[in-house]
Amino acid sequence: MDIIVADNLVRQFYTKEKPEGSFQLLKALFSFKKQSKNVVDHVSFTVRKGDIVGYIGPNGAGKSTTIKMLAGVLVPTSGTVHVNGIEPHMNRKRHAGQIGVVFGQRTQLWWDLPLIESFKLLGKIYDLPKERFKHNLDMFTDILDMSSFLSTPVRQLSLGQRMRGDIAAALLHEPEILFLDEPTIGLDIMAKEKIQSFLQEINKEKEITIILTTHNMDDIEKLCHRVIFIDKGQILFDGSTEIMTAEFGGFRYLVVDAPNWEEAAWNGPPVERREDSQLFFRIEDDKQVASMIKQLSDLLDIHNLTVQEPKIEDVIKQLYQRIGH
Amino acid sequence: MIGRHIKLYLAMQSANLRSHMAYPLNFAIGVLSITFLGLSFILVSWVITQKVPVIDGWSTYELIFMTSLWRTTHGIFIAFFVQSWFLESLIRNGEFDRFLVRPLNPMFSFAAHNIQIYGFGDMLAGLIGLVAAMVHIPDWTLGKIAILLVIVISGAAIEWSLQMMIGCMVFWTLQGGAMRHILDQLLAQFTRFPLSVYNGVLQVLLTFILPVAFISYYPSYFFFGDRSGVPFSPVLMYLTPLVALLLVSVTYFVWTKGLNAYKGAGS
Amino acid sequence: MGKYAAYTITTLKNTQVYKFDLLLRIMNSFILVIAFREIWKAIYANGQGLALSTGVTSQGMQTYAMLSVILFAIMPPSISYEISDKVRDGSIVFDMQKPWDFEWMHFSKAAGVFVFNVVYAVIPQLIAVLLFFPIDYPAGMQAAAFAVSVLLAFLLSFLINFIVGMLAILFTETWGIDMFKSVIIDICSGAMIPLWFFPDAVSRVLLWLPFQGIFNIPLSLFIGKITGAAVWEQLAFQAVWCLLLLLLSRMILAWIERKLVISGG
Repeated sequence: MDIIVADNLVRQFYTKEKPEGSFQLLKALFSFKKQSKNVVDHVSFTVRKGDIVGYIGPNGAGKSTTIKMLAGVLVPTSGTVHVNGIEPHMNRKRHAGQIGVVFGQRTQLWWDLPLIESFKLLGKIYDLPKERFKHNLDMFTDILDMSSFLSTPVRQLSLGQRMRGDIAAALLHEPEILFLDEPTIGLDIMAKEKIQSFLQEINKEKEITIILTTHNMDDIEKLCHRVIFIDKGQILFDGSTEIMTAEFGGFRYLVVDAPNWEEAAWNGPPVERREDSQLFFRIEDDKQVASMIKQLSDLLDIHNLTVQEPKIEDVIKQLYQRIGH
Repeated sequence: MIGRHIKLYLAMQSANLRSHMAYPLNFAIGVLSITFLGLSFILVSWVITQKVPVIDGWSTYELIFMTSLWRTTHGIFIAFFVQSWFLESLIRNGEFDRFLVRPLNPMFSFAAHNIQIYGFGDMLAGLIGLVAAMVHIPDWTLGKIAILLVIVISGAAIEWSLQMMIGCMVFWTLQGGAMRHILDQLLAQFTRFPLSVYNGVLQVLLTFILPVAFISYYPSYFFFGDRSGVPFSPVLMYLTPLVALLLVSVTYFVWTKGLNAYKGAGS
Repeated sequence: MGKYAAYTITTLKNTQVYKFDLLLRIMNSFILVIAFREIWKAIYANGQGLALSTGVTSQGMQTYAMLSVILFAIMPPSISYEISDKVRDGSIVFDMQKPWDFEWMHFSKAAGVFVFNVVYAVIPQLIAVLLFFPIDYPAGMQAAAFAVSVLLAFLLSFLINFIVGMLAILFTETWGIDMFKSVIIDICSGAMIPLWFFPDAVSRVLLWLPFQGIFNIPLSLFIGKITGAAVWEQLAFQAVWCLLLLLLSRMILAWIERKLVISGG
């Protein structure tokens, strides 16, 4: 069953030309020169109930504008979106009950109060019956392992704990769809893994549909069944994560720190990228690592060495090349 | 339905209040300093009337009554609606979007978003001034006190409307929140002395265009023994609640239009 | 000296970014100028023999009130917030250990803001006032004394700000303390009501406090309420208070630096 149907979505924004010189704001107030730009440009897709979809793309690609239309914050300029059969902006309040939203860097929790108080308030805001509230709170406290910090003021929580709190806060009213904006940004590996496994668990148990934006390849590989890649307001790739990682991301970098590397004299394997004294070599297959290290250590004075996942930007580059921009 | 909203409002504001209480010393010093500020304005009226006992027919305590009346309404505005000053930053940092994904009227979410304790300092100063003045103004009845309460709330509503309308500009321009400083100044300065001390242009401006004079100046006449000398028409001293109602309706209309513009629904 | 001057110039350049704020500030001041002028005109119209009993004419008082608004524009901004932010994130220790004098550093910054305000706020406001409301202004020695007095007023205001800012290091609360300071200066300096309007006993006390050096002395010089030998007396009054407050600020600074070193920062 398709829970989200977006059909030819367009969101246009007017940008005023920025006036030059003094009193810019005054001029801006009285200037009528407008330029319109399609931030989301004829986007169509459907999402099946219970899917986890990674919605990715460079900054300014139109990701959050799309999410805002799905959440009912913005009204499409043209095209339609249906979530569970209703148009979000036409029936905003009812729609609000069926979605949960987490903005990664902005918490909806009350900063100076114990975490539990935020939950209680949200229970009232969403008008949850007492038993449902208690049942859900107990369940999330258990799954998210929050019992140790439920009565700690939010400002004293670690980033990972706060994110768990935020996710629980977005789910208390049992939404069918969860929108996550950068849920793992800034988290250490342990915290990240906890969040990822929790999201998998609720997706499986409660069949919650999850749409997430991320810059973290790891999230996509571990969580997403499907990836939608958007740039300049248009979808450039829409398909299963397996296809994407296999075709565009199934590689890693061997990164060596070699300060006295000289480009002109180099006759080893090709250097894909260079950051200061760090050289990036592409490995298609983990079996290559050992031989590559041996080859490099013969040629170079290596100070340090790591294997790195490609950044989403690297995958994006691959996508670009593939799509032929 | 309304009962649920009142309960929810109280719950949210009590949470906001407890957040501030996390720093009790700052709370106490902050409130006291604002009380002190409010009293200093009342002191100014007192000092001046020690040398000049009557200004345009207004005695010391009538002047103190007028300035304290504004101080009280201002305190209510600051305590419960100061967020209208910060609409711009709420929108810029994305917090405003949160109001649109909750199953509540966005105006409700916005109103319940913050409580500013410093407003209680203004209210305290205003109440001290009002009581000090009322002792010297004859003929108080319970009915008059009830009307004073209506006037105070109406005054706060007028200030809220003016501030919100300027705040709502941000929905279209996405900036321009700084304009409010001018309004703040107009409110603080032109609620302290009788309108008749200013020239005709200012009198028209403050009565009919930015109706600041309805917050403290016109309604004050109603409570004084001598009700003569109201500029334009004596009817104006009764109009404060009506002006408030009108402005609040217009403001809600502007807010709705602004919200639509922000959401991109076209206006 | 070079690094402090550089800091002044950097501040000056950075301040120029906010031109729209400045326009609003000018409009704001102009509203105040109009309000104060009208209020004092009315007070004089209602008071009997005020000019005689206070020694200041209605015209003189209007000038005093309008000029107080303009003078307000050049007073240094409060530094408490900046300092308390730095205390909160701990960077105050680095500031104190930098190879420059903490007080000079803040003074250089205030000087930059001062120059900016003179050019962008005071001059346009003065022009606006002179255009709309003809006022008498001093000439010759009196004008020179006024200029010196304004500089001393700025210095006094800076020192009081700095001392209150230092308190921000000791207390975590700054907002309220700073508000108390502003109210005391507004009332005791003659910014809101000239000192000669206060009851005699009160004004006698206020005349000995440093605050009157910020508004009362320069403004009285401008409208010619202080003339002749009294000019030197009043300038000396400002200078002596500057010295005393400077000493006090040095003592507090030295004490705080010791405290920070002991506590390990």
